Amino acid sequence: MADIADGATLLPSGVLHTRLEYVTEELIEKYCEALDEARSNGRGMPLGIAFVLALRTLMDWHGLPDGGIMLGHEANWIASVSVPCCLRTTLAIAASRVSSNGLIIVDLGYETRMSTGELVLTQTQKVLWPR
Amino acid sequence: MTLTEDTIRKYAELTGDHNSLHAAQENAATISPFGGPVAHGFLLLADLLTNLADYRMPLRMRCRFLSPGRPGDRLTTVLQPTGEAHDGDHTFSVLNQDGVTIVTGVLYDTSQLR
Repeated sequence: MADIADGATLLPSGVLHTRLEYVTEELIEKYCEALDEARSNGRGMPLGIAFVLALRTLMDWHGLPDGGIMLGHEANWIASVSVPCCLRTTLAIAASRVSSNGLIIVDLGYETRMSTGELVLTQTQKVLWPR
Repeated sequence: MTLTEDTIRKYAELTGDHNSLHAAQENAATISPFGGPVAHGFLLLADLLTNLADYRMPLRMRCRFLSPGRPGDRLTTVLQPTGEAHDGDHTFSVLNQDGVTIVTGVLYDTSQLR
């Protein structure tokens, strides 16, 4: 990929993958155990589950080469979510380019909706993409 | 919060993110650009999230990952009001035990911080 010019678009923008997640008490318990975190918000979904949803969707896509490095992240928690629930997370490429020093930077976007269609969470992620 | 190999392993299991950068394998020091295993970026935000009690929606967070977190690192999260007109906005930094800032960011609409 050394012949790709600075600023060139590498990957087509658009939806890559959609994943359904049943957010259950069992998942929340695993999350709290992994982070050694006490649950503090009653029946609501812990904020950090947003990151779990993003990573599970990204990994489920199987398109990220090994060695990808996260450079930045933005999360917008739009509405409270009660557990249990079923959430649909959609992964898309917003932009991709080659930086001035030859590194591939990809901007990923995630939208998470309730089964009713209500948007509850959006995330964007800047990733250093392995060549 | 202290990062451990066990925490990283559990988070990899939870998320399915088994990127070799996070694996505590014998040759990690030679194959990783960081010279050894590093934590998932989101693990570095764990302390930040525990600072949010009875949060109110909507909530927005933006961050940049500046340096990796490694097993054995003791992380401290520092929150400061932005001093701007938006009530409740805070900047935050995650520091390791050497005082190096490894994550920096902004939390918006956080008047509920404890």
